[in-house]
Amino acid sequence: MTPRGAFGRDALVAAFERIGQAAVEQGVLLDLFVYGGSALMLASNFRYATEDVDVDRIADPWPVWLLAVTAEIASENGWTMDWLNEAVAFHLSPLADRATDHRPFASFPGGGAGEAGLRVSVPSAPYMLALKLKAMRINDPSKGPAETEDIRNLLRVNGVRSIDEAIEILGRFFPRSAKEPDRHRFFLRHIWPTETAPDDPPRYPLDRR
Amino acid sequence: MTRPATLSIVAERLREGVPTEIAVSEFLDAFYGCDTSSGRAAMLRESPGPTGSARSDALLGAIAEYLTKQFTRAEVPGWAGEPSRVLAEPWFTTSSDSDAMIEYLSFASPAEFRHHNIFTDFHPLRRARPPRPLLPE
Repeated sequence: MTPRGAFGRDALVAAFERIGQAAVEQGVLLDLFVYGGSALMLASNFRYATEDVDVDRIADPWPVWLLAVTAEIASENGWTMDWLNEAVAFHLSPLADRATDHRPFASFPGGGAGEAGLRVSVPSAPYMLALKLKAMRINDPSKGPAETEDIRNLLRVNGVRSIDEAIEILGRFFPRSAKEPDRHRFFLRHIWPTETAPDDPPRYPLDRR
Repeated sequence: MTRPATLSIVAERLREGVPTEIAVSEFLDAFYGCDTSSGRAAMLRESPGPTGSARSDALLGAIAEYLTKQFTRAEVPGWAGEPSRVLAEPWFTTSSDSDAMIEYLSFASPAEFRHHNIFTDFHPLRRARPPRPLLPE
């Protein structure tokens, strides 16, 4: 069940469906790259809610039809007007490639976007792990437990067997952070998953269709 | 899913069962999105009611003190220093019980959290959206 005050997966997929339909009406194809908790909520089996939807830069300014449909969705759902926001763009890796370091999640409207509609992609499992490692908010007083579990699950998903391997993945996307990794090594040592894999192992990214 | 505009509303949401990470993150986005010192101070002014969790009550006090000092030109609201906002036992915000991590957090924690017996990392309460620059008033 989605906690009160949070986005649930079904509500977000329904919102993407609306944006996809609006894109078809405009005859345009919109690519949306989704990150953070919303990407995990959409495409993993271990995160079920998020508080906002982080996407890479779409356009500056946004097309009028997109502003209109996101405002309608916000109004109908009681969401904030900036429920779809580009704040995460500043934190993304300039080395991440849109093709090879992302995976298609789904196309909207349902049935797949042809020449018009919405295509949603999420980071690959290594890129998602690197983003979480760079932020490293495991001790935050409000988000720490969820961040810790996300990193543990992404270590498992990526089959990472050692801290050196985790630092290598961080370095692929954020070489400056990996150059002096003492802090990351310290934290990783203390959150390293020790228990055996659960019956339902973590999976990411899952294809919707 | 309107963002909570005051810490008082955050406390209400916590009482209703909204997870801390959701309620606090939503509040932080509203707080950092406000671009006046007086507006931010108003979001912290009202004393939040008890949440039913001593840790949450103390955390709200630490959040009020930290945000006031770091991101406003106002005085810390009086309620943040009340005894109910200070934990009897220290809370280290980590899943690890290692001595090294405890020592690290003892050193790293901002004073505004230590005053409440909460020991956390450098630069807590970060969001992807940075605080907006304050406008002159």
